[in-house]
Amino acid sequence: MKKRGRLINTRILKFTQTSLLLLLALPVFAHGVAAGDADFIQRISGVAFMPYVYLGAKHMFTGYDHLLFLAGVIFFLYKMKDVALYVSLFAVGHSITLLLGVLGGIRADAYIVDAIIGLSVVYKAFENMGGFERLGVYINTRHAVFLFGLAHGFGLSTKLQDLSIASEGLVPNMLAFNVGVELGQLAALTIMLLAFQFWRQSPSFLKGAFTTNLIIMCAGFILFGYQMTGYFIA
Amino acid sequence: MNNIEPPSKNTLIKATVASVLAAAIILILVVLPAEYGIDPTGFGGATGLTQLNAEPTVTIEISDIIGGNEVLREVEIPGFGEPTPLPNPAVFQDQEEVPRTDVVTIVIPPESETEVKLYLREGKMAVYSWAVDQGDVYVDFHGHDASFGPDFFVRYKEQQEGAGGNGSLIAPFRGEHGWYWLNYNEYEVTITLTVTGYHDRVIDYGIF
Repeated sequence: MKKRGRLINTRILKFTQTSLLLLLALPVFAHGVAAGDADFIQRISGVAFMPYVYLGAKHMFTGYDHLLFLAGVIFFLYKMKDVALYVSLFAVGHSITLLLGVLGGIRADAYIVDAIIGLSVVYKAFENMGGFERLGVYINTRHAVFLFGLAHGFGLSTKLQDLSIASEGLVPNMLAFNVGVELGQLAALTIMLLAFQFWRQSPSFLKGAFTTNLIIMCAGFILFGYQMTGYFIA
Repeated sequence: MNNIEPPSKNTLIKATVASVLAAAIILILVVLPAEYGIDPTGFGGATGLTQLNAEPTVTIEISDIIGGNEVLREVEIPGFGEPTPLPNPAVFQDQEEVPRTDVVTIVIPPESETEVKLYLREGKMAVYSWAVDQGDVYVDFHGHDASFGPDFFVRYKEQQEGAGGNGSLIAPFRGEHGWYWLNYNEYEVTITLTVTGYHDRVIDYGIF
């Protein structure tokens, strides 16, 4: 690779790592439902398909804890087949608990669930760092992604459960929301994959992978600590 | 996954510990102060992060009476939400006894004087109202602290020609607090005084 090309890729790596570090330092706002959207949900009654699709998409696209986990999942997935498989496992997991939560009325403590989501980020990053392999601990990643997907789904549903959603049209609206979540996930995934493809062409990818995952793991710890504090004081 | 050797256990342990430490530092310095107002190091307060989720507060001025003089003090109380205790004696005085009410009628002949006093312990309050039946009189509403001698007094309000007066008094010191009335008219004047409060007794000095 030409010297300039290598420099650019190293710069991309540094930029990504610095951005992640800066993001860690920003106040982690509780990514609930935005005020206007919450207002809408509590206000309306009856089927509102497209609005709920949009809300679901927006929720996933701005859900940095979900995206961090996804990024960890696809970090070392080179084949589209594998990407599709793992993302589907995640999607099925979070769809089950999202619908069980809102339609089935199964409640979970929002702080505990969000703390578990933080741990899911820690898990995947540690795995990407070769941590479990070195420790000789075998983890079936497919099972883990599905199980953590369940946790992520509860994270989605607890945000909605706090709002009084109209029972009229609840089922189609929640299905629409779920569709939206998948669409939002797809959109975020596409961007992430493009970035990864681009980055993987450079040798700095493998060199920087350990540190990048370390930073992601740090973000997971911050999320965990933030949510557990909320659980104890609120 | 990739086919390279995973890093050594040592590296992993060090990296994980570093990661946990960094997370703890960021949590304690930035996230917890900003989100919950938890600020063990004071860094959040110094940088203003704690303002992000701080309870709105209101600053009110409370006046204390010390030695007869008014002293102003600023007290910060929560803006809204849970009621907050404010046991400030300058504002609220809890009393064991029921307040007493006295109605005193004084008939002052022409060109005569009188004094009616309340014996109040320091910090005790009395609410009063007095009025003449006709004309007006000279009145000096004041307080004596006997421990300073019989001639020492503080003046609350003086009226050269007063037909009545209303108000409240929190005694700055233990002693006799009340009114000197002079009827300078050629006719008799009847003053009716009503007092409710925590005075020990009413002292009527009679006509002189």
